[in-house]
Amino acid sequence: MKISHYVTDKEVVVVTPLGCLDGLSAGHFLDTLSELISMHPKVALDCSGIVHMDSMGMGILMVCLRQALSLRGDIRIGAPVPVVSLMLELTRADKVFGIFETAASAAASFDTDLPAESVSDCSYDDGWRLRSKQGNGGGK
Amino acid sequence: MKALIVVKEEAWGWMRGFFDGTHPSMVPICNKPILEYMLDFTILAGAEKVRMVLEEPCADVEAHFGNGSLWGVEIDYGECRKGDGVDRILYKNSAFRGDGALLVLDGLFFINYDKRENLRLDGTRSESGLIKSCRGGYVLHMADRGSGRNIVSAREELPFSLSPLSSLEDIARITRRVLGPHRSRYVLPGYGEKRGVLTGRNVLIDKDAVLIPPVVVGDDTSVFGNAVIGPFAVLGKEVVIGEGSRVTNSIVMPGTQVGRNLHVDKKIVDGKRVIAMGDTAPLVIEEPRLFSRLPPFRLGEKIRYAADALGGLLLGLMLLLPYLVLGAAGRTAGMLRMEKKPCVAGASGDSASFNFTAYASETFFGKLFSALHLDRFPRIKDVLRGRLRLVGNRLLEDTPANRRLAADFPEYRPGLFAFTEGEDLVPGSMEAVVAERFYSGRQSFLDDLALLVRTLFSRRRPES
Repeated sequence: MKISHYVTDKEVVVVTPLGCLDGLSAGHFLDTLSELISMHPKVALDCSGIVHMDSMGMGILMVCLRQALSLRGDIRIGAPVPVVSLMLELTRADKVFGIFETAASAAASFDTDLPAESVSDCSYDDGWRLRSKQGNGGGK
Repeated sequence: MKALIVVKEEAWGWMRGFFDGTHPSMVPICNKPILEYMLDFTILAGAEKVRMVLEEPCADVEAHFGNGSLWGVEIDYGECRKGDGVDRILYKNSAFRGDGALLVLDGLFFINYDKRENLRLDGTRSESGLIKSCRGGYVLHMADRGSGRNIVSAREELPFSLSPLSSLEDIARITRRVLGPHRSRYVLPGYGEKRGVLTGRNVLIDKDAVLIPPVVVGDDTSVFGNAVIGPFAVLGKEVVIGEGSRVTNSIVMPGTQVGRNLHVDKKIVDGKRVIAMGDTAPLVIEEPRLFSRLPPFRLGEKIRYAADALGGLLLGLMLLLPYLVLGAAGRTAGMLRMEKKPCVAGASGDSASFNFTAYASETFFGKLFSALHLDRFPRIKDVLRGRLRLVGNRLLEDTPANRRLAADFPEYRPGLFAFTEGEDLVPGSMEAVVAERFYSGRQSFLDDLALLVRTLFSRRRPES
């Protein structure tokens, strides 16, 4: 899997993975994303280049989301291909991630966020950590 | 009255892309094949003899409907060709038709009838014939041979309506209707109903699972703890719903396993294929923990596997030494190499990789290698693993055409040795295809053993 990234002037890192996000690439993806989050906890994940994703990939996203939230950041998903949308929906992770039509709109959504304090209004449901939708910037 | 039910690919074929391994006419609505609703209607209309006319013989259809004794009618099967119009079909079936009344159902549609009403058409008289048509096809009633010669002049006077089934949305809409307000209009045999929950036989529902009506649960289905099923959910036969999963407004096709903590909403799940309403193609989830196709449990299959594995083990032990010696010599001399090829592993159309040997078949080495059947040695382990039978169908290369062929051939079970090898038939020829279908339908282990012995001691053509 190839992973490229750039940082916007608002300190949002836009990460573009290309290829399969599955058990084989999970370690590489986790290491790379984890390192990026530690520097820039606001992440817009461009999913347009993912050709396959399994529950291992989903699990990695959840781990990284927890890390980003603990650093007062977030992971927002842009341009999910059908297989990513389906995985998010089937695993109910679509209620946890902010989902946007494009990576640019996912990155731009951080601009309209409320102050980070309001994002800490958390609740738990079905084992997933659900956040207040206030901070999601109105995903699609 | 007699009835002709015509199943043509031009009307039904669109479903093939979505439901792999299921003949379109056997795609269920509330766990009952669409074709069976048509049959029910012809019986309620007064038909005593029904002919199902398909473009290709379908073992699944014939196995399900048999001779019609379960429905109290005589059923037989006919064939038509692509492009055959109603005149041509009537001409081909003129001997079946006789001089009496005939009801023709041609196309893919759902007949909106009510079993409690009088639907009998056998006493109806009409010079021009009566018809009810929709975008998907028509129902034509002809009182005798003289009436209804021209389908255009038939009068639209039949007392029911038709709903076309031209998309998944149509199937979902009809399913919701049959499951909900129109449930009492149709025959849903074999189900016990309690407060909107229709259950089949041998159903296991965990005490912590919640069923929200209307729901249909097929035979031999298990629903594990904290699962929420419904509203408007159809679970087919032999389905497993994992702990904590939620299935709403969805259809889970027979033999599907849904993993734990999944949320299936407005989907059709068929094995590992997930179809969302409005999608043009299913998404394949290659992860057995989420969705998978459960192999049906058949005692005969288990015994057959044990016998095949024993035979494979014996054959492997006999060939081990010659293979080691000749294989090493061949590889050293550059006359033998191993290669992996993706092949169709079963009627489900699943692909699997198998080991093949490539060798110079015209050389003395090649002839000896082939005569001793050493080219099969690398695949003996597949017999032991149950991926291949000892004697079965010819292993087909994984191509779209072969996958389609296997999907239309429910008895397809590839073997280490092919049924037709001992008969010196050209692989892929019409004779070989017919012979393979004949031997597959016969399902006799002793006959297969005889075929194996004949294959082992016959002169054979090398594998292509």
